[in-house]
Amino acid sequence: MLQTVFIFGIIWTALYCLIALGFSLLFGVAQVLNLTHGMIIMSACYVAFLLVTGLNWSLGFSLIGGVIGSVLLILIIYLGFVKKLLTAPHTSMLLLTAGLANIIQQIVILTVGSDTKFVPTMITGGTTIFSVVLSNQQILSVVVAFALVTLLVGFLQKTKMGRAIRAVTQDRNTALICGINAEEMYVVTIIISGVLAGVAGLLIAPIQTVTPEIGWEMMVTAFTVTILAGLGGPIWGVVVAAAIVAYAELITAFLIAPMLKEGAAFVIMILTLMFKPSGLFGKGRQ
Amino acid sequence: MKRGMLAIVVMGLVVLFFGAAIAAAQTGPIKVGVNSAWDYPGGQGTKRGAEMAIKDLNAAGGLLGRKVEGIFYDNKVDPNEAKNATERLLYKDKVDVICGFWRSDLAIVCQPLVMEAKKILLIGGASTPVLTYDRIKKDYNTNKYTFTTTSCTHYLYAAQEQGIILGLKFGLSKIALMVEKAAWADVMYDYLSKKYANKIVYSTRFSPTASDFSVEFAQAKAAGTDIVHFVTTGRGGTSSVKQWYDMKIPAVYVGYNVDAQDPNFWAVSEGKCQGVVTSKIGGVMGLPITKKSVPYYNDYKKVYGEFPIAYTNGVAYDIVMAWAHGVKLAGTVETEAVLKAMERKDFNYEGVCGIIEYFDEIHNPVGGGWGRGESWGWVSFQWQNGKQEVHWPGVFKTKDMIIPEWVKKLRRK
Repeated sequence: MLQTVFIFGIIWTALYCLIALGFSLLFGVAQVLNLTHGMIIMSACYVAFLLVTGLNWSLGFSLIGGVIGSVLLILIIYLGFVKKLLTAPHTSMLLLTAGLANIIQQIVILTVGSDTKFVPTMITGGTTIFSVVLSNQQILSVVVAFALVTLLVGFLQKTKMGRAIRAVTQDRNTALICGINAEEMYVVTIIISGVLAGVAGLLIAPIQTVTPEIGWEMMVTAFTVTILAGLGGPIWGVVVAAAIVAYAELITAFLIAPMLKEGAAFVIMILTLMFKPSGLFGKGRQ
Repeated sequence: MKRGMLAIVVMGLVVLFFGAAIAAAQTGPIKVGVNSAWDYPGGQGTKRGAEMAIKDLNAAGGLLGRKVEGIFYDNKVDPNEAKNATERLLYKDKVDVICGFWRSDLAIVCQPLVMEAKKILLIGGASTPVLTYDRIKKDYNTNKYTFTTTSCTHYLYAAQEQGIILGLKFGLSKIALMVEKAAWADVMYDYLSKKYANKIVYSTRFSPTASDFSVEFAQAKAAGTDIVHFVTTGRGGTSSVKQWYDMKIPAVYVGYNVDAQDPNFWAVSEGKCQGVVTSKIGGVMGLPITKKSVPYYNDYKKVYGEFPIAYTNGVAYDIVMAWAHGVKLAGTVETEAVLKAMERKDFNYEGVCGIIEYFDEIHNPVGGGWGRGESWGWVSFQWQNGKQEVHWPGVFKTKDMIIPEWVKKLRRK
């Protein structure tokens, strides 16, 4: 059982990382608590589904379409709504994005329906690792997730634009004095967040199922991991927080009951808010 | 004198007005209210079943010479929406009968409203024993207006149990019971838990909204399971089959999986459903349970461009048509008269899912679909090479159950 928990934990950590990274990054840079994040993940799944089944696109092109769709959606949300409230209190942003999330969900229900949809598996078959059989789709998710984390860290550490984003994250006003266009960095971060959300949705969709409800489910996961890591915390903090949530859920599932695994995430969120509101690696914000 | 004349004229007008109203009510359309959820395969099946029944009734000249009109409300699987829709149908639209309710939880909530209004309630999909055993049997006078074609009876158990029975005949003996946590499934879960207590090596309940079963399958595998009895009407139907295949669980997959009832399930599951056993009321496409079955489903395809996905379609069609049969026997749509007609022991309605010889004391259908005079509508089948092959009941058998090759190979190892 130990090796099963260990291996599954890696997979769930990777998936939770993918779900939470875009949300955490956007808050770190632009202070935007974007509750539409889960809906953007969901929308990527639906775009891919519609392209595969409705327009008979190949799976590869449909997946690219899904990512482009999620980037376009987050850009519309940012330029059309969020940008106007950037300087408003967090509660205004929360209410705005929660409202937008519900609207997106209802649009999906009205146009595509509430029934379960399926995105085809990208790679079929299974592989045995330490006597635990995993689907190749799960392994692909882990590889892509950790590759994206590495790329993101490299981008933020090694490139000029990445350093500019970090500068805006640390102190927007000083960054402006140094000639960095903060608005431009926001847009770049929005696009990165959209790409991460899109990829997350497309990797998870073939493993599970696609319904309008998954938007809020993903949002809860993203929120829990980000709160535990600390709002605006480092990327590696998100990875550690994702691992804590993943293993807590798995241990609950194995030792108590699989049905209670989601409950573990809520317990973590409540405990964090009660005893360490700034999170494990946050900057002291509460 | 003048006052007397005026009174007579007023009374005459009143009589004329009410007479005209009563005449209009008796010659206007018969209203069938449908309460279901369009966006879900089960709910869509109920809606289309009612639509097909109304279409066929009107094509045959209507009911008692009157046109049949359907009034449809989408309850969105929300209990409050379902209650509101029921009240609108009863008191605003003033329907003659209400049908629908693929989900047990919604049927449980709405049944008392319909019973209070003393209207016939036709259940087309929900199968919780609460509606029948708990309510009709315990308080017949209050709940007698409810009729169902899908109730939770021993026929349902028998169909869902076939995979286990046949698995045991193959020499398999360790059962994992994985059953969704839903009202309708509780009785089944208790029944199987008791009956196979010494063979069950792993047992779990999961949420109907769950779609990841990797932990459950890992635990079942660790327990040495060779029969996975998986019961789901929710989101996990397809993902559970994919995970069973991808995780190479060395066990046969049997039970009750509504997703696997879909004629397109082979494509949806990417062929991973080879060997999956499930059951369905109303048979599979192309199976002549009655002489009406195949023509009905072909007609359905002409209307909607596809075969129905869920079992709810045939049962919803049959319950509306059975009610119409009762109306014809009674010669009226008046509730008490129709109730008496539907309770007749010589009721004898032939539907697409089977023959309803009569409705028993809890208003379950009892029929001769299998030629044995006791069962009604259920078949157990297995996906084999892209086709749904029936193995139970014997009278409709198209192929024997098999163990998938990849499971055999894993078990040899």
